[in-house]
Amino acid sequence: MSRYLLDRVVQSAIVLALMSFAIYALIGLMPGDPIDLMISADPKMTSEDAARLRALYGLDKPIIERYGNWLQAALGGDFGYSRMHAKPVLDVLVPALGNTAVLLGLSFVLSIAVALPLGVAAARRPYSRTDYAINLFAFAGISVPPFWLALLLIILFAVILGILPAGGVPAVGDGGFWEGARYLVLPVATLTIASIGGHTRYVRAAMLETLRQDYIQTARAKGLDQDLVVYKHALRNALIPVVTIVALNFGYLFSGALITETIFAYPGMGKLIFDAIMANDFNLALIALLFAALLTLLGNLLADIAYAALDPRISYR
Amino acid sequence: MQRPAESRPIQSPAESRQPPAASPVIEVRGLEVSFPSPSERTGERVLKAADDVSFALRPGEVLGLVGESGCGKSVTALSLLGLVPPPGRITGGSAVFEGADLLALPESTLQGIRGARISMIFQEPMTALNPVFTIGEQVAEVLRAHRRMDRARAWRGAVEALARVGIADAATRARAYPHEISGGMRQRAMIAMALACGPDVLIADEPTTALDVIVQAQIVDLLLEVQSATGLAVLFISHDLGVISEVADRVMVMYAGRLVEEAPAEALFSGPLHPYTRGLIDTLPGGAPGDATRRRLPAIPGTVPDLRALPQGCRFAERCPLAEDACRAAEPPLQEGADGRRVACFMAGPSFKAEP
Repeated sequence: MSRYLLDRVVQSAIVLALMSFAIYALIGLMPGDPIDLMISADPKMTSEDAARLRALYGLDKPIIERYGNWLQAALGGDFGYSRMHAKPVLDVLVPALGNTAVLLGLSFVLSIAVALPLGVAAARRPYSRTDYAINLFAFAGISVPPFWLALLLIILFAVILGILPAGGVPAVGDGGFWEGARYLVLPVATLTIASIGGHTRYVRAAMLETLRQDYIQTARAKGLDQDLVVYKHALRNALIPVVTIVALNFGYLFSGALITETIFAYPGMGKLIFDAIMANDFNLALIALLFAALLTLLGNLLADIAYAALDPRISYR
Repeated sequence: MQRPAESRPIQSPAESRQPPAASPVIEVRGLEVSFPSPSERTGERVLKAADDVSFALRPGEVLGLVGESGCGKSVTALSLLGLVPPPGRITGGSAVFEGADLLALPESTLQGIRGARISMIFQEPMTALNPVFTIGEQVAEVLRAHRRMDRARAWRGAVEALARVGIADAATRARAYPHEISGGMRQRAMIAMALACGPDVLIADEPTTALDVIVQAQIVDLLLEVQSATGLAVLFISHDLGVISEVADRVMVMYAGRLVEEAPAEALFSGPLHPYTRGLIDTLPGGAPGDATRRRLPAIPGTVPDLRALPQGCRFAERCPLAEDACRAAEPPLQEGADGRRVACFMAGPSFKAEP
């Protein structure tokens, strides 16, 4: 197991290194660089000034060389400076990461907490009214675009009812825990509703498949309670495929957060990445995107570990 | 059901090993299990997987139930435990166990009977055991459910139950997952699970079919050993007449959802009354290798009729060498002769007995 983990960590490091180059190259290919921004901001700047600045920042060198310089600095722990925020990149990144973790964590837990019983209930009586109702709800959830849902929620709860803030976070020192929680309700609700449908469908499909298995009949023939049969014998097996899909979907959840955070002006990773790219804040965008990649890799690793924990037939040696 | 104007008397076979008639543990009468069979032209139709099945399982006997795949053996067994897979439904009959009709009992009462008083083991121990729990846990769970044992006691009980079915080093093996042990061992674990609460009845649904021949013999021996030690009644289901001949005291033959013959095992094998039973027995390989009497094995021509489109009259008539017009006109009822044997055949009289 530890050998397997080590292998996976090394693999992830390699993927991360490749990702860093890909992201670096893609950002380098984007039209415009920080100097262009300076030119547009300062009409007195001449093209000689711009060339001089480019040379100063190393922007005139080939991309491979620039990447090499960046990598060297990054490996030494220097991730550069965010131009937009005028702070070291990590100082900007860490609070945003914390905010996103709260947002994603809450909506993920809520989504699973709702999807599990719904999926199980649908699978227990396939093609019943309950099943159709749950499916309708699930497909509605899948079909509604998160950005549209977010706008509707804002209109209803912030504009018409006026009981929840439309976005942002409380000002520093303003209100305690509950005030902060009020700002989380709408973004968490948006992300939760956007992922519940998919999760419910996965749970339902996996449960339907599992409930057909012979060992379910055995469990019933043993005289076990129906709920025990479903929640112990069936669910444990059904979770194995569900864990995979859900973990692999972690990346989607992250990109969903990007849109949701932008709409709600929520200071998380999604908004950070978006703003950094729009402002040509290369250093920040690069590291933020790399963190997103890292989180996805971590999700996959966790899925593999959860696999082994759920299924004794899988062992990593 | 149509009855023939006159039914011929049933000739008594030469010898009959009828056990003394004790009151049955389970008495099944007129069991009918139906499955809806959607068809676009005729709309919803119903096929009867088990049709008017009546039999008695007596204490301490091994009752064999034999027939081709899809003849209704398993459905008959599952209906006794209320486990007919949907959309199948029990649409008629009764199955009396200790004065109560199993077919009419509420689910909660049935739960208390399943696995405790009436247990069942299945064909394929690999898929019948849950892959994510240890075999010890799967046995212990029965004790917890029915005997209200705490975890530690149930685990000890499970280890004892595994040891009783001949699993060596049961304390260690109990911690094994199904995929870590052999097929024979898995079936032993299934049997340990079924017997953990000391049931009165064991339903064994093709318990040896998925095993290789040597392990098959071991499992058959184990079942017979346990049966004679505990005196439990066994309903032994198999399509393999050879295995049935080894284990059963009495044998019932099922064809296309109906019982067609029932007799003590020896009598059945030495003098089958129903042409289908005879056909089945003829397909058994006989004689030792090199024996001059070895021959090419015969087969019963044709196939089992589609339960959705049963012929009028006897269900076996199309494949029967003896079928006459009467057989195609009406369905022969299952009739009991003076010797207690039962057969559903118009031809099962003296004329049939005269056949070689």
